Amino acid sequence: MATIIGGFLMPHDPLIPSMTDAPPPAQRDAVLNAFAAINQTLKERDADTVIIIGDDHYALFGPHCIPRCLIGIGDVEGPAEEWLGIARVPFLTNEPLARHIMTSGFADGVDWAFAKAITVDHAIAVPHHYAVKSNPKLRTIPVYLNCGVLPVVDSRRAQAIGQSIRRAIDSWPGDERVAVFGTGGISHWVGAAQMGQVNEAFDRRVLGLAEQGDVEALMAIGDAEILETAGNGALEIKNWICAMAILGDVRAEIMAYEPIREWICGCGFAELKAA
Amino acid sequence: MSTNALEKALWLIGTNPAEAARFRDNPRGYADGFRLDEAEKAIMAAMNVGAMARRDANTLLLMAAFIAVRGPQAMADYMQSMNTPA
Repeated sequence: MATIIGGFLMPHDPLIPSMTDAPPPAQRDAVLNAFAAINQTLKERDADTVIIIGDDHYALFGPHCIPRCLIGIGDVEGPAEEWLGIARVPFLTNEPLARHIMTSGFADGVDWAFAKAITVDHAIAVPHHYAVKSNPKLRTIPVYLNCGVLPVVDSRRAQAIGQSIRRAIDSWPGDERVAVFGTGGISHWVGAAQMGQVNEAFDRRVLGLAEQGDVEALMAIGDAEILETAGNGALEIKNWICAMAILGDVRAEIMAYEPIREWICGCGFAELKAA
Repeated sequence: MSTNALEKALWLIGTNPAEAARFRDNPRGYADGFRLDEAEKAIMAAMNVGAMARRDANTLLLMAAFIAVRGPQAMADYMQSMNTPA
């Protein structure tokens, strides 16, 4: 059976690599240091596979096809965006485990869309760049949930997908040491009239609920409320909910939080630890 | 009215530089290629993102298409359009 050796919540803000020095140095360093700490922790725990849960930004997938949930089971490279300032590279992948998560999910009621060759966007590529890429043995399995195009995935469904991934990991005969990243959020308005605002109170509420391990309360925050008070980007807390569901009964230990106007985002980091 | 067609056009412009170039060369002609009504063609050709947002076009697409056409240096114009009342 594969072993889950850690879970983390983190932003995937594309302005972190593309406008790294825009915020005050203390805020910038808090974010970069949190990524570095995750990277170091994965090395210390000898992680060999990371499942990165992100969401497309209506770029990889278009009006012709919006998958509700998608898993990369084959070739992975990224990032798609040249303007990120991150060179596009092939990712190390764990195709056998990815395929097992998919087929196990089919039997489990999760109708995965799947990608046999995908160029991931910043949602996967930013966490990979800062917390994975320097580790020569760490393989990536990308998972996309639709948090960006209405109707978005239901939060309870995001949880169910995470629970299915957990059952797949538990039933896998390999000896992988698996880490899980829930990425995105917290408050930000992408492309909206309010872009640049950060709702720190909302962000701290989300982090507080994660600290309490209160996933039910996180799922109870309705999409309409999120859109109104924290912006379309805050719908990405569904990625966090999915990650928490993979880990099981966990509480978040906050690593960093910075409301960064220059990066138009409330950037929160946490480690998920057994409750 | 077709938000679907607006989003189709915006997605093409925002994800394919050749489509963005076609739009820049002839905005109205580009808009004529989609199943849009006259008002939609006008706001699309003008890249009036505020007006398209009020028709429920996804703001992820609006920003990507705008940047593809005008460049990131024009984001102040984008925000002005998004914050201009109808």
